[in-house]
Order: sequence, then structure tokens, then C-alpha cells
Amino acid sequence: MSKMKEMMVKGMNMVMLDCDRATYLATKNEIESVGCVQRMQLKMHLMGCKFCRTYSKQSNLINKQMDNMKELDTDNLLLHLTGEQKNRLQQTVEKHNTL
Amino acid sequence: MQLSSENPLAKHTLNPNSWVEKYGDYLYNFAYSRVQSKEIAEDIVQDTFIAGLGAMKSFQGKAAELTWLISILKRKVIDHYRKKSSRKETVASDFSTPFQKGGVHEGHWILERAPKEWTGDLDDPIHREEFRDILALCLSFLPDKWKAVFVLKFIEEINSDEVCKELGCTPSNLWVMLHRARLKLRECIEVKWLK
Repeated sequence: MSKMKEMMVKGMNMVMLDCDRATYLATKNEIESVGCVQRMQLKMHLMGCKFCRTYSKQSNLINKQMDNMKELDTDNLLLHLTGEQKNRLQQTVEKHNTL
Repeated sequence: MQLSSENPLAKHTLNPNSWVEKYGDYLYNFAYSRVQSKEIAEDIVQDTFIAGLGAMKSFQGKAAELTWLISILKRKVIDHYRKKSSRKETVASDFSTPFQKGGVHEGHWILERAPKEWTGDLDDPIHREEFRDILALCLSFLPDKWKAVFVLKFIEEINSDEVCKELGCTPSNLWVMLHRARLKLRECIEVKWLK
């Protein structure tokens, strides 16, 4: 009986992911989808783990914010070059513009 | 500029003397969002202009001037990270795992460091702006190599083989770095956001 229990625990550990592994797979799955067994393991883990569900939600939020960095909104730029910076850059352009 | 006049299909031309005025701010912000340093961002914009001037002959007029400059700038960002990540490896103090080591709960969250709900409405522009600033700040705290893989994978969406080729890492190593970068970034945002 105890042998059986031991085997069951071993089996469970093979199927169930811990949070470390689950968040690793979640990160990977966001960019390159993981295999279907791993995806199922991940799904099962998320069903039972509130922390990792929160983690996933927050990851999506971060990704959404990163999406905004891919293409910037011209009307809502964070920084503006100072006059001094512009002068520096303009001088560089004129110096290297051989035409 | 009559550079592309020989090609009848060409619509776009280059006017380097107006680059700073027309695209300077945009390119500066674009670079900043990828390197999180004003000085480095300015350097990258400058390098982009110099490289652009050197490559004007190969401009075929197929892309708009800004699009063309952005493609050069993206290359400069990769170059920047390649130089940086070849210099310095991450050290142990860069990362402490939020997961338990050993015991029956090995691999599970350490309770005090487990994700907490983030309160606050991110549809509200003020909160959104604050979140954007916190993310940029926390990105800047990442070790160079992690920041490099994070930016190149999540913002530039460059494929893993290419990222590894540029930065000198193995694919499995890449995922470990991305995972750790993510964990560190999440925790940093949480601390600043809930404060």
C-alpha cells in the first residue's frame, strides 16, 4: 500500500508542475507556444493555483504595455529632445552629409 | 535630394537636413523605450543618423524615410546590447528566486513574495502613465544581458536563434534568462505599484 502511495506521489509530481516550472512555461508560451502536453500541464496548474493565475494576469498586463513600445504614439511622446541635443545632432548630420 | 530619381517607382526621398527636426523626438523616444537611458538613447539616434547618411546610396525609396531610419535604429539597439552583454555576465546577487528551495513545497512561491493583486484601474490614463513609468524604471534595474533578451524578444520580437547569435547564449539559457527577468520585473513593479 505504501509502495502504491509512493508511486502515486511520484506520478503526480510528473504530471503536476510546481510554480517555478509553471511560470517558466507561461513565459515561454507567451512567445513560442509550448508543446500540447506542457500546455495542458500549465492549464491544470493554473486551475489550482491562485498565485500563478495572478502572475499570468500581470504578465498580460506587462505585455500589453510592452506592445505600446513597439510603435509609439506620436502625440504622446514621453521625452522631447532639448535644444542643445537637437543642435548636437544637427551638427553631426551636417558634418557627415557629404552630398 | 534626387537620389531615387532613376527609379520610376520610387516615391520616397531622403532629406537628411530635416531629420533632426522631423524625426528626432520620435527616434529618441523609440531608442529610450529600448535602452531606458537618455544618454544612450541620444547616442543611438546619433549613430542612426550617421549610419543613415552612409547608407543613402542603398535607399531605394520603397519605404518612407522614417520607416527606413527606424530599421537602422533597431539594428543600432541590437549592436548596443551585443557590446554590453559580451562585457558583463550576471552575478548571483542579480537574482534571488521567489520560490521555495527544498522541502515538500519546493518550487512553490515563498508566501511573502507571491504575486498580490494589483489594485488600481489601468484604463485610467493617469494610472496608465504611472504604470508605464514604473515599467521603464524596473526594466532599467535588470542586469544588462537580461534586459537585452527581454527587449529583443518582447519588444522587437526577434526569433530566439538570432537573439542567441547576437548575444552569445544557448536557447535554453535564453528561456531561463527571460523567466528570471520576468520574475524580477514583476516583483519590482509590484513593490512600486502598491506603494
